[in-house]
Amino acid sequence: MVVAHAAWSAPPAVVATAALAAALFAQGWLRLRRRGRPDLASWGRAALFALGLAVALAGLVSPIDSLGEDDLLSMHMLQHVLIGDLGVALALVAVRGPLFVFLLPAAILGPIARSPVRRVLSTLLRPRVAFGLWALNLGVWHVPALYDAALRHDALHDFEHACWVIAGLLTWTLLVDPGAHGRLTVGGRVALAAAMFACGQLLTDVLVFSFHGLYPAYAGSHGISAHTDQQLAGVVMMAEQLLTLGTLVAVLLLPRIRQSRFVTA
Amino acid sequence: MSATSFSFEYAYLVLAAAAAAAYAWAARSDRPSRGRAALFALGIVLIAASLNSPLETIAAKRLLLIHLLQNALIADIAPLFLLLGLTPSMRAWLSEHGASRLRARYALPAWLLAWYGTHIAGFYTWALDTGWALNIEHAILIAGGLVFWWPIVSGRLSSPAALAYLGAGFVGSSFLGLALTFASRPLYPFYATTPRLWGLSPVRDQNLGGILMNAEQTLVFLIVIGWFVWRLLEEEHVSGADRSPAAR
Repeated sequence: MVVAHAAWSAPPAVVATAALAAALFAQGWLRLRRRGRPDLASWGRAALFALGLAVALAGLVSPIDSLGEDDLLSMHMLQHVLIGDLGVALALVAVRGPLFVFLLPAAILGPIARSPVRRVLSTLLRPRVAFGLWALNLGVWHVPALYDAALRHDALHDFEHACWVIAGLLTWTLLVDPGAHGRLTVGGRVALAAAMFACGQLLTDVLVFSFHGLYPAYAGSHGISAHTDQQLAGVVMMAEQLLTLGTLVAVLLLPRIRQSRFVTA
Repeated sequence: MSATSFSFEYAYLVLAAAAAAAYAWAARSDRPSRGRAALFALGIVLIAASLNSPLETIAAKRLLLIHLLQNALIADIAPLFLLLGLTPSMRAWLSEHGASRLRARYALPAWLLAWYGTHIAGFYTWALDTGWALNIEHAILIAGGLVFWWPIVSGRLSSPAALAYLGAGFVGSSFLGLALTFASRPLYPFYATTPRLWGLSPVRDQNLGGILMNAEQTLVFLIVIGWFVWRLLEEEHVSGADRSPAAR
């Protein structure tokens, strides 16, 4: 079926940001390999970063964007979790270790390290601050009035997407810990993941359990009623969180489970 | 029969009385705290009251929503309360008498089998049609719940293993509620022809039942998961794993 609103697009800001991210990764990856450490900058890492970038781009340039903007709330939700969760998580997993430091050329990294930007980042990456901002972002952008306003005003919509990416970067930096800063212990990372899931579940429950549509801009489309579309949006959120946060928690806990079995034996 | 009439599953009144008597007998030599005793009593009441009250009438004669509420109470919440109500030495006694064989790797699939098996349309309809078979359905659900929660309450699992177990249980059991929430036709023929209540159509009744089931499981699992996350953090605190300067 040909869908009128399903279209690809290439917003200059999105393309430029993606190109910048790809360029930064490429130069860091090449520098590490030239230093004789292909083990720290493998092709697998490049593929994972490309996948993360592709996932985030898919949310912003593919028909997911146009369908989410014009037709279906569930598509809009998918877009948000792709750019704010899955894409960011994959990219951060790809750059963990020394590659993380090599992402910025020395000429840029030095001045940044000596500037107030470092202090600001350090504050933003405090677990309570990062989680608070993430939860606030999740709550605020799902207030129906604000959600609809973002759909009507392009600039606000772009700002909303930037908020998702930044909030995702902050929390996933703590969860993945690509620079091995150890801001959180394993238990702390599991707790953060559980807290994020609980918040996401709260939103999911509101969307799934509401008896009527909460977002007037969506009246149902493609044979899906507004109410079912809203319920699907909740399920999209839950499924994506289970996939990303569940995988992370499993990876974090597996060594502990093996260790406790070894101790018991 | 009026929706507010009482219906009874007498077997569960007898079993509840027997369980209460056994607990009181065991408590003579091993006095439980008030909290434990209250939890055990609450578990007993949840099972006995939900199967011997107007809830049973509506569940067996009118609405799937209420039947699913009943199942959630007796399969998820009551067994957890019952086990939490046991003192350590009561649990040790149960372990010595066979419960130690209930490993997590067997308990989880057994619980999922009980959960999905009892909700298969054919079994569900047979139980409702015969009436007496509802006793079997409820016995499977209560036993399944006790089996599922035992590895958690018995303390055999480390915190990470308990979290993995709970996560797998939460994900594994959620599909039934989701299927009921989104189904656009009645999955249980029995409820398609029963007298309606509160203006709920069969499909709406089913969708609300799925929503209720998911909400109840989310609440119960997140509370227990939250407790184990807290315990994991406490263990790290005790072992000194959180004393690195950056870990704050």
